[in-house]
Amino acid sequence: MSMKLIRAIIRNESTQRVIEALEKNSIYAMTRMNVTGRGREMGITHGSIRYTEVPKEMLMIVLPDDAVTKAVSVIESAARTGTKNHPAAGNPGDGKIFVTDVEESHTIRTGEK
Amino acid sequence: MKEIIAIIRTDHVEATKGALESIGVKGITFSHVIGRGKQGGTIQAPDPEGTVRRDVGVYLMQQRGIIRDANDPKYHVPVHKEIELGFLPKKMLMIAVNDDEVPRIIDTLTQINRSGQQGDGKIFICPMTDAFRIRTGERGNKALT
Repeated sequence: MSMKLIRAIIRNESTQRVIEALEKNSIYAMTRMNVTGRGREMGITHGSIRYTEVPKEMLMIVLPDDAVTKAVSVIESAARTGTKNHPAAGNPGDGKIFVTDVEESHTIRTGEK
Repeated sequence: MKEIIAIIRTDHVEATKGALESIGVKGITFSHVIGRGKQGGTIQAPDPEGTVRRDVGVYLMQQRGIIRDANDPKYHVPVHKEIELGFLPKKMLMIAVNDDEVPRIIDTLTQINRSGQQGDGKIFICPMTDAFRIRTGERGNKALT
């Protein structure tokens, strides 16, 4: 069975919301790491101060191929922040989701593939 | 070329480093991560007699509907005040290697890190299309050796 690695880079404050949404879809296994990054907007300009790296949280989830589409849409809708008038609008900085191939996966405890 | 991503216990890092060095793997990237497995974290139960430390995810699993009855004798563990351990600190290793080295590295990683308990970690093998050595500009397999 082939698998995919989902790397979701999301806002720190939306992490908990995303995790809860994934739990509702029985996805519990994940790895989290703190990262800094920037996107097309090249960071944030606040007044005259320019921040070129913005702290984000990266979730890494490995799933079988057929579960990927669902998981991506769950992460997407949970990580999207809205404005007051348009709750589902989305803002710059909401993050990115990357999906890559995984050829093999081993559980260290049992050695199974 | 392959990218090996291994997520292991923090107390096995030194042993893993030594073992990988002894089979000739030199380039490794480490990062500190937190994670949990398909059990959705674990619950540490205080042991009144102080004899065994138990890691049980059964109550959590019942809450989340994975198992129906946590009081089933099969799962039963005396828990007075449970501590929920959600995401636990782990170390993530990223190793870029040639295809033929992969099985040997997997064997070593599995051997060193296996304690038989939940939370030993995972190893993922991903395809890598190209690699560059920045200092010299070499690419492909040459950049890895």
